[in-house]
Amino acid sequence: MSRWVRVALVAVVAAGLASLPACGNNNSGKIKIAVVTNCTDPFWDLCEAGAKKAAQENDVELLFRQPERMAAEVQKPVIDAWVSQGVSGIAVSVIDPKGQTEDLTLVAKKVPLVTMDNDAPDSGRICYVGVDNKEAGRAVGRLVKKILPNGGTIALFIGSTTSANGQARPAGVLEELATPEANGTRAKHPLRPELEGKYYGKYFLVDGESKTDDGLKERAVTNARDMLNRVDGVPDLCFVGLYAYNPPAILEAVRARSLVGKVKIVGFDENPETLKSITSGDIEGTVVQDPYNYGYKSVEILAAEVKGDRSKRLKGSAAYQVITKDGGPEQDINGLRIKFPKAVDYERTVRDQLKSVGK
Amino acid sequence: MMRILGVLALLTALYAGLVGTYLDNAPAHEPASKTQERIQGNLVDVANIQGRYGVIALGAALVIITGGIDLSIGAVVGCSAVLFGVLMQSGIHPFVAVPLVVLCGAVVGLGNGLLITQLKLQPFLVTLCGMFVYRGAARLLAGTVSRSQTIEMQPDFSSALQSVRYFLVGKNIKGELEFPAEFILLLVLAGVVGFFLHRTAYGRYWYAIGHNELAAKYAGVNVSRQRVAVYVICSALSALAGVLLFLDMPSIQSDSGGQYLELYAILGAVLGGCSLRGGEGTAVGMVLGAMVLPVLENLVSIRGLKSDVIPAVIGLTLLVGTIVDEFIRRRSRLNR
Amino acid sequence: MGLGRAPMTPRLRANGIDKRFPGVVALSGVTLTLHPAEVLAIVGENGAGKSTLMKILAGVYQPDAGSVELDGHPVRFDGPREATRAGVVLIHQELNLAENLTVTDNLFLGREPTTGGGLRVLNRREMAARATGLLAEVGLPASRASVRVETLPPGEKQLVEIARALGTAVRVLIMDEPTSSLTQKETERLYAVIDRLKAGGVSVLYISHRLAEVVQCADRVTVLRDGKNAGELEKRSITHDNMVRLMVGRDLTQFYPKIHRPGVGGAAVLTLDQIRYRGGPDAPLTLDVRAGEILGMAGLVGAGRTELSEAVFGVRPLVSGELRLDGLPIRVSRPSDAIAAGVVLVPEDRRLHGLVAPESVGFNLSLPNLDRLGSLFGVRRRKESDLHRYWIDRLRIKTPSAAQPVGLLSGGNQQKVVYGKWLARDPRVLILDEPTRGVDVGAKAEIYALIDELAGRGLAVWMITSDMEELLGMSDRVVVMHEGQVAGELSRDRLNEEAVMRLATGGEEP
Repeated sequence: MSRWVRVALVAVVAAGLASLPACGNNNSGKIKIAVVTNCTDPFWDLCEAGAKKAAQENDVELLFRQPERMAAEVQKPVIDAWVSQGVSGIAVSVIDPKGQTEDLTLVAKKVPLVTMDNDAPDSGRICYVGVDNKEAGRAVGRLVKKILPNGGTIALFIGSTTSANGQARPAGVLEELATPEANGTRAKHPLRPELEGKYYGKYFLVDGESKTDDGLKERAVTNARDMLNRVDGVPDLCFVGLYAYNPPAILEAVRARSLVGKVKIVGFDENPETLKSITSGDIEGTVVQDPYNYGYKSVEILAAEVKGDRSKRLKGSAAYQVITKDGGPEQDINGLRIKFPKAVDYERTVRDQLKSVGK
Repeated sequence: MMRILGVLALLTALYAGLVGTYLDNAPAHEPASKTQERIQGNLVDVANIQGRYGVIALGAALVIITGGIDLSIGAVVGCSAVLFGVLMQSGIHPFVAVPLVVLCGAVVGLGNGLLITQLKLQPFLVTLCGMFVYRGAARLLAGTVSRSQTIEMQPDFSSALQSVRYFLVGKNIKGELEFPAEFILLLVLAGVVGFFLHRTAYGRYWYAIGHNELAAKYAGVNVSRQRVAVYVICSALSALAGVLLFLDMPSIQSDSGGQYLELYAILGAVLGGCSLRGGEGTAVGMVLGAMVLPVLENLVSIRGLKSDVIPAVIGLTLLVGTIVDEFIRRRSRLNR
Repeated sequence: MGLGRAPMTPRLRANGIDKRFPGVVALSGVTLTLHPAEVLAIVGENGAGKSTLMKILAGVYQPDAGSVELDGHPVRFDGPREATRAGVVLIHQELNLAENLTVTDNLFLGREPTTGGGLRVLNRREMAARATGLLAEVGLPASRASVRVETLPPGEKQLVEIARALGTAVRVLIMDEPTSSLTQKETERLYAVIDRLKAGGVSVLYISHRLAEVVQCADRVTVLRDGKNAGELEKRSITHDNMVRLMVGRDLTQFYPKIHRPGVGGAAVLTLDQIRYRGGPDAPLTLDVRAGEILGMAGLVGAGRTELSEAVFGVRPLVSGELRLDGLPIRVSRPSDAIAAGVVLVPEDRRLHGLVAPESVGFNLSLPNLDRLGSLFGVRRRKESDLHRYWIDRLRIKTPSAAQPVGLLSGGNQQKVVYGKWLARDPRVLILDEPTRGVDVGAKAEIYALIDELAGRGLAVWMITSDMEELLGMSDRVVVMHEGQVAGELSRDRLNEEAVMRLATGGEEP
């Protein structure tokens, strides 16, 4: 092959490769609203469903990204690219409030910014769409109290304790359980002196910390399994899973040991496995955030901002919901109107939401 | 024998530590039989995971013996798990879906092998790109798949799926682990791999290619064909591991299923005596090597170490194990 | 050989072979005839095309023009496997063994006796039985069958390669420098094997630089020069001088020059005083190497010559005893110590120990001299290229440029690069291990002249060699090793082959 033919071939291939990422770029001429989450998860699929609905209703074009890794440095180039593309509004689920505030402040000056699920309050964002993770954690704590009214042994399982919600949720749970006399008192377990932990009220937290799995689903299962081994034979056990995938992982481990019913499980978020298990009674309950509404509200707020309408802004945090098998009446807790739907009903709601966007 | 002495010693130490911790922590009033039962239960749990890691370590080790490497193992595991779920949800019977998924894995391996041997591309590069591609393919197939979701969509498959689950993973309909099926599967597969590696001409060729490709070529070995065969086996085993993962976990997420598994597979292979330069390794070693990490993780967890300390402890233990192993190997070589 | 000149079909015949590689014409119109049951030697300087011709005959390369006939039928081998199946087997100069496998595995690699059809289960029993036979044919004990090849010394590896070829139904055995790493005894053994093959009707074709062997062993000789036929010699006319004349095209007198050096050693430069080293014999060893002399070190394979040199150079740890340079003790615990003291080693296996093969000539020349070529800020390019140019010229290294990958050079020129890199450091003691192994006649002469000149300048040269001609031709004094010990010392006037062999095999000093 002559040299020029070779060069030409390389040039053609290079041009082709370069245009690949640009595929799918159709300019519709509408206002663009962009949403970036903190990771990829079915939780955010619900958010996307809500966002799409709001985009339809408000006649805007939606750009929705779920990044592969939960890392601020993955979000930044995405947001920067959007700003330079000229989007009219950005919603972001903040991963690291302290670290990202500086960058987000610069973004907020150029484009209306809304934070979801996790807040960066000093960034100049228009408003925050999300629950107060600590408050939600306290709701989890209340569930634990209901399940073990006379105290017991608990273990906490979560993805990471370095992210903002990774710190807030366990803090909320423990705050709810604690009493002035027992707020993190170090002790050895009364029945198992080899187990060390901390007392929060009448509840003994094994190891005095949350067990982390760094988002690795397999490790979530093995963490629960190993904990089951260590507390084997101890009565009044409650395991708490604080990320969406934790409750099903705990249940898998509990099932493998035939301990269903003997070890109570409380969870967070609305993983479909979790909801099914609440209906069947294997999991006691979960506190959910309503991600569908996150998406819906964020897009609605931003679309309105572009038109100059500020009335849609939210004040304060969104309300969480508490899902149990039998449900309960609505309550006002700490200034929020909290619903207590039945698991069966909530499952249906979630399914309909997903169906509305064909997932 | 010398080659696996190091990893055998490491495993023995870890298991001893594990049993010792249990005995230490057993409440004074607990009868010995109950303690034994608990220890056994834990070991059975761990054995299942060792089985799964072992299956992929077998494939990785074969590739490494021929002087190659496969970084796409984890992605193939995840993609296969998702594919398995999607196939069944689309109406393909579980008994058909399992071999179908393994076949797809074999095709992936064929692709890897052909790119490496025909286009003479570096294995590292080809399989690294493959990692991204198959991860992406998984995400295109589905977001999340799970057993319960599959049964919901195809209730007729429920009993077939359950029997596959029992047979391959050892869990019954209630989810209780009755026997470490994955470990037994590993032993069977290791037996087959070992047979080919140590008792047939093919095994000789793999060792030769890994050490001196030119010598093999001049001896008339079809180097390309053997290389491709080994990559096919590796990816097929990874696909099988994907099926196991689907059956064992409550659900599989396409973006993260099987993440990092290629590193564990390579770790298992290397701990078990494979040299990354190629040309070394034994079937027994591969199994032993794959057993190390799950036991180590279990030991660390059972001892109640703080979460933040765990990764460092695991890393250091592996490093020490590797140093001791290398030491033993060098002494054996001098004394030859 | 048959009476008269009855016309018989040649076993192998090559006609008008042309072969071109990018930038160089390797062969041009070469013909070769090989009769049944004869030993034909191919000689020629490096670059003459001998290896290329052999590779074409064995199917590794395909000729650009010309034809090859086997038993009168034209053949075209597309690869070595086809050639082997037709009975034409080539044993490469650079051995092609899988070092991580056992001898038995290597003997049958690619041709294993198997059972079980497609499964190809190894028939270990048959392999073991046949292996014993094959090893016996080349004089190796059956115990070698199950050792890993990497543990064998180069001499034995060569024999394994030959045994491997014998395992096929060979009709033409082609050997490229078969005796280059064999000792005297092993070479004799090889002659016996070749005789046996001849008796069995096999034709043997081999390339050699050891002209004395060719004189002894070959029935006919074909000489190549610059890719063309330069002449043929029948048995009667096979002499050292005749061959050299055809190879070089001119007379080479004074093959072993003794122009510059005094021939009698001056003061001892390097002294080994009661040395014991790890892995060596228990009894201590003493010898010295003097300025201006070439000390030849002879011995059988396994006598411990290379090991001793490695101990002095810092590759093997010393257990006891003292090393002295110019009378002053020196500590050598690693090669950099030896180099700093001015003691350099040109190793036996240049590919393994002497050169970084994929890198360029320049890279290799610079490598041990980087401290002289630059500073913290990097290598001074000008200085480096000066160094390269100087040594390429000085040693007449045949290379298109300093950037040429050294692996592409001929054996002799590779050896010169190894010399060059060390000589640039101006050493006091030069330890040479098999200095002209695999090197062609022309380059040999140049290397001998170089060594003579260096000794003339006061260097102490310690030359380890298994080449008897070289030993007798170049040494001023000879030390013979036997089982790790100094068996005896021979001065120039008492130096002859018999005396050397007697000491090397454990006999008494004459």
